[in-house]
Amino acid sequence: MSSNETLPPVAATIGEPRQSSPRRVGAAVRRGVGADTSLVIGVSIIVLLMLAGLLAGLLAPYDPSKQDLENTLVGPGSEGHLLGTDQLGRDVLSRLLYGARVDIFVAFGAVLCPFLIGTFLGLLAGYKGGWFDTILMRIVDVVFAFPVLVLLIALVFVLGPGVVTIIIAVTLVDWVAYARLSRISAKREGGLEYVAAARVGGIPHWRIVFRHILPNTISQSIVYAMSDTVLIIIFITTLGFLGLGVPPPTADWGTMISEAQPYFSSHPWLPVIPGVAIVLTGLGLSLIADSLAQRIDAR
Amino acid sequence: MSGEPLLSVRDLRIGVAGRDKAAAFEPVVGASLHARRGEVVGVVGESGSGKSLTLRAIAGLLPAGVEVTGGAIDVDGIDVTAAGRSQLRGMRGGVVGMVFQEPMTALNPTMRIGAQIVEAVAAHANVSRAAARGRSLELLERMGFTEPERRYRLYPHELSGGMRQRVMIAIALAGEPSLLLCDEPTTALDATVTMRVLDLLVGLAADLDIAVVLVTHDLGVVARTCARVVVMYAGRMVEEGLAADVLQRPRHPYTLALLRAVPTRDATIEELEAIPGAPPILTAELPGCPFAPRCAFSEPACLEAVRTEAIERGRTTACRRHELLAVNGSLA
Amino acid sequence: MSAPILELEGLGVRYGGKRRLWHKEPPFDAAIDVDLAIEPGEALAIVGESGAGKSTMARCVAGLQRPTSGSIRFQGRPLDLRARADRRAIQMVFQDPYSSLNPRMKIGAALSELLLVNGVVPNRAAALERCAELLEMVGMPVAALERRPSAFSGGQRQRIGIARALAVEPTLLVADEPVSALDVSIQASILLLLRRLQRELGLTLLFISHDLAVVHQLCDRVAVMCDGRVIEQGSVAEVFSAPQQEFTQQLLAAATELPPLEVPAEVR
Repeated sequence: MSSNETLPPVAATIGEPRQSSPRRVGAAVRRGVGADTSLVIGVSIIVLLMLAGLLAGLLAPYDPSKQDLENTLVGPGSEGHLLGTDQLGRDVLSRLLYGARVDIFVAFGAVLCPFLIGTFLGLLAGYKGGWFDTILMRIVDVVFAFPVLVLLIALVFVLGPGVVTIIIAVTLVDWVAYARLSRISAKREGGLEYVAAARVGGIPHWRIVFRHILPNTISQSIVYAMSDTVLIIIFITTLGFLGLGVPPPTADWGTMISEAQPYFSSHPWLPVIPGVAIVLTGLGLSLIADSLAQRIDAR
Repeated sequence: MSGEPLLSVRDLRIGVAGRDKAAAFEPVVGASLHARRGEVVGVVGESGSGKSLTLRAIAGLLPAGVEVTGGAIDVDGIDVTAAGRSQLRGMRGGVVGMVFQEPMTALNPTMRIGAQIVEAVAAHANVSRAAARGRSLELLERMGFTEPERRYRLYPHELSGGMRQRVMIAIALAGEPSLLLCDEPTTALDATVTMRVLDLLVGLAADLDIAVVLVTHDLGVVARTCARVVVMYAGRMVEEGLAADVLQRPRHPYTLALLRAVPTRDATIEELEAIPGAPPILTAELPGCPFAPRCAFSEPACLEAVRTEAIERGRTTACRRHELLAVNGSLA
Repeated sequence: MSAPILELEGLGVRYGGKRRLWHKEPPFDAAIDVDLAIEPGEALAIVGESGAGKSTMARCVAGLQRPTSGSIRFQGRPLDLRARADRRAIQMVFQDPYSSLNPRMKIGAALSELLLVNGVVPNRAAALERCAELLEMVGMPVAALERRPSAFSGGQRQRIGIARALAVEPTLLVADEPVSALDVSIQASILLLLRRLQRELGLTLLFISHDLAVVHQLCDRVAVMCDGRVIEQGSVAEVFSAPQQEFTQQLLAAATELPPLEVPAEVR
């Protein structure tokens, strides 16, 4: 019991492993494979798309709203128009780049509010329990039971189309998922002995929630937020497709697909190109979510 | 006890393939043990000693990425290290039965226990449902359950920990194996229940004439049940022999240190001695004795090479200085 | 004989019994009518099997569980855990070394937080100094302050847990099965540590265990619990040599017993 007891290096203490030997050994093998590659690819895709949106002003060869009625429906690879033009002669590439702004940044913004609000409320409910928990859960049940799309479309009609409306609408409906998630995590974490130890040690409740429980539970919510962003992007593009998204002539991928409806069979590149952009975004976010989830499991 | 050992493990080495050469290591570097019918053999060691992996290797149940890299395992004539998947599956249950530590996770919570035993019986013998049911009731009775018909219909969560463990043992015996492997079967149980389960295991070994290998970290369990014992440390076998012999007259400094560190009913805290230091990190290849850095009797030669010696028939030790511990031996 | 430092009188903890929609939930008594007293500086053990109520007792004393009947008196007054002084005076060491430390917090940060929140030290610098002292008391190197719990083995984590319990300078230490989850040889070092600390710091110890062998090593008096009640109490010597209740006898019979060691005199 001397103070000279040497510290083992971080990962290699075999002396008293956490689980029985065979399981521990198997987990070590699994950890090495896969997570890193997915993460790199996913992050690359998203960063690229974000840069495309940010630098749209510099990269876009044309003004996305500028019509050129002499050059309508020109195919991709044509002179001056890398991805062709749409039915009003607007350059597809430029519209795609400016559309990235709307779809990606608005989506991230729209996921942030429900994430913050829902996680906070869920934490409190999970940790405190009691009447707050019961009331919150009943509210969550009610919101869940609502037909989401109808509610959202109604909100958009009432408040008028636009970025702010989208964010408000999404927040009102989406916070419940985060609340449920962080509530369960908080309940589970709150039952662990280190939380009891903190209480015995006289640490005030608010400090326990934010300094102890939150850091240990937030990673699950972040992973969920990644997948949620994909859904929100789809939702924004759906709104655009229904004509309820950002008002024209602003480009967004959904509107591009919607406006290309009459030309689906004759000029397929018109809907396909923005469609591919949407799929690519979804792929990137899913890869990030998957690899983050794998890392959490490995812990 | 019949002559030839049913189970024979010789110089077993188990390796883990890491992400690259550097991360690979060998959690077991030389384990040997033998078990005969009617005998209970204990494998005792602390966490990281490799005892659980050794047991799983015998059953052919090593996790992915972990494999036998040397030595031989022979179960009733079957070479486990060379056996194919289907041969191993047939062996498990039919020749080898296994009992795990946590009965709650090993039993299906949605099935009645009677049905689970019947399932195990049917997996290894082509019998009618009635016959399987009869055998299950027989097993329950043998496990010491009063009113086996009533217990037959219960779900796992309706049983106590000790009862669940006895059901696990019944399932393990359903295929009439000749070897029963138990991985810390009583660690999760209360002391009084442990006693009863251990007595049951000892009785089964004798009555059914099967070999039982019991992996545990508890020397008290060994004292109560085992005829012979193998002591493991850092992946190696350090001592082997009759349990009474090894526990009273240890011939390896680790065994001695362990015996002195165990709180027992009669000893007082003044007699308790902690083992200084910590077990070694197994990623490095250790040429000499892994216990040497913590050993009170080590000399420089101990760090260079391990020498396993047979002291007498059936008694081996991996300590080159074991003479120091011999009561009637000479003292260097 | 001075007054007992802790007195439990008729303590009971009952769960359930609430009226539900279509039936009345049967109540479950984790503890029934428990009477215990601990003298200052003494080590009292509570033993029993799982579900006997011993952990419930520990949690009541440490303030993690509110008793549904009976009373607890600490240093002659009713125990009031909202008072900072009482809270600091009773601290706890937990059973599972793998969940009793916050996995994301460095050891130094966790210990400093306790010291600062409770006003044991005036500032961060003093906190770090005291953390180093605490680690030294439990035999851990100062470098541990910069590491997270995942860097340590079970035995080391328990030492850290003990350091944490000692941080606010308690007079009564509740240890809830502190060595049950540890390897045998590590158990010895933690028990010896507890013994030494108890002597040096004059702590009173309430020690919960299911293992009678361990209790024999460390404690002066022992109370045996079964199904929520205390069925036998007395000095360790008395209860071990002449157990009155059949259950106690069973527990004793199940305690680790090894044949006497025969080694050369020089080795002893």
